[in-house]
Amino acid sequence: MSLHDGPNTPPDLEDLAAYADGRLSAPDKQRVEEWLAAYPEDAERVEEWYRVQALWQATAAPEPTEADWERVFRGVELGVARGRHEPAKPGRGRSRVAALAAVAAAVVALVASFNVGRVPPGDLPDVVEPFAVASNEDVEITSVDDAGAAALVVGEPPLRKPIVLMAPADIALRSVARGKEGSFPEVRLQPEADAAPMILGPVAAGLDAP
Amino acid sequence: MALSTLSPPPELSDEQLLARHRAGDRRALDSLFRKYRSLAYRVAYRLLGREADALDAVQDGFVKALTHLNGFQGRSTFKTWLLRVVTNAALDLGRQRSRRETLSLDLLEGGDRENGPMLTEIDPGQGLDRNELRDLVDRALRTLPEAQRRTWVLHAEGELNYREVADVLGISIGTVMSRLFYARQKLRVYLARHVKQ
Repeated sequence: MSLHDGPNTPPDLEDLAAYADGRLSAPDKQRVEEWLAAYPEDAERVEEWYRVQALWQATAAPEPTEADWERVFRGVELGVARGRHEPAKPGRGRSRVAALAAVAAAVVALVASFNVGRVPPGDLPDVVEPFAVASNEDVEITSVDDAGAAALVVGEPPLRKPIVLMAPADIALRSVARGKEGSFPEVRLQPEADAAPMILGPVAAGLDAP
Repeated sequence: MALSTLSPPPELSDEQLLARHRAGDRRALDSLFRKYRSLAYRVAYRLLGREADALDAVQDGFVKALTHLNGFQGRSTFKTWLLRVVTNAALDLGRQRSRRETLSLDLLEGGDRENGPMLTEIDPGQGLDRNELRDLVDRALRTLPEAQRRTWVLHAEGELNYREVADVLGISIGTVMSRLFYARQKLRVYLARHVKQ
């Protein structure tokens, strides 16, 4: 039973929680206070909730610096600009992922087949920051084999939305070397200071035409 | 152009700011960001427990909220839409992080029962280490199921009322109240074990 079941019904635990949150109307608040005065065990419960709230408020997040905010804002601007210039198209995600994966695989294969020693480490371009291969909007799981279903623990089942398979932080570009056909994936930095590196692969790697 | 050189626009509603942002007004984006950045950050911080991760979630959340505006228009406010996206981003980030880290929640819980700090007072004015308190609350939060944790954080830190939390999560107000009740109870029990009153 709750306050809303009738004028003479006692408050239930959710009513008490709403009281602790300050979410009750004045009449309901008065009824709860009368109840608490008569039932000290419930009054103690509410007091404990207040103590939780006090601890919660005492552990507020440390405030970032203005430099932190500037950096985040630049990231937002850049991300929004990219989003505007690259509107999602139906069916584009999977082909784009396939193309990017092909490039990434090519890079990995190239790294495996040509040892990094061909380029002295000191001469490697300073391009070791993580780069985005795909965002969660680019990946959609359409089916999972029975054998793999148990291992796929993401979100709350049933999962009906795209999930993040990898983030920029999960991938690091260590080195780039020539492939068998002699082509050399080119790595450029975007003009913006905080932009991620961009890999330009050969057409044979499966890139979509722009 | 540095933000400091931009003159603040007059007080505008979120809808007006979004319209100006869509028209390419950078000041409108700056205003929206300044208006909600702290709220979004506090929510993300509670879900992740780390400043740097929380800032990443805020950035990701703002970008997604602003590039998928058709996902909310007409059905909620920008604030609730943003918090929905930010909490998704934070939880995704938390899952990625937990996959990278080998420490399981079971180990963490079992360990701190045995060895975790027993705090003697809640009042931080009594000279307690705030980081210890934050760590304690963070561990308490992680004992909650994700749905409860998200509901609690949106309510307690996101300054959302029951109706707004219900809108964000797509659940009924009764479910919000129920989750909040159980979250509060579990937090109380966990903290009572570690905080000597």
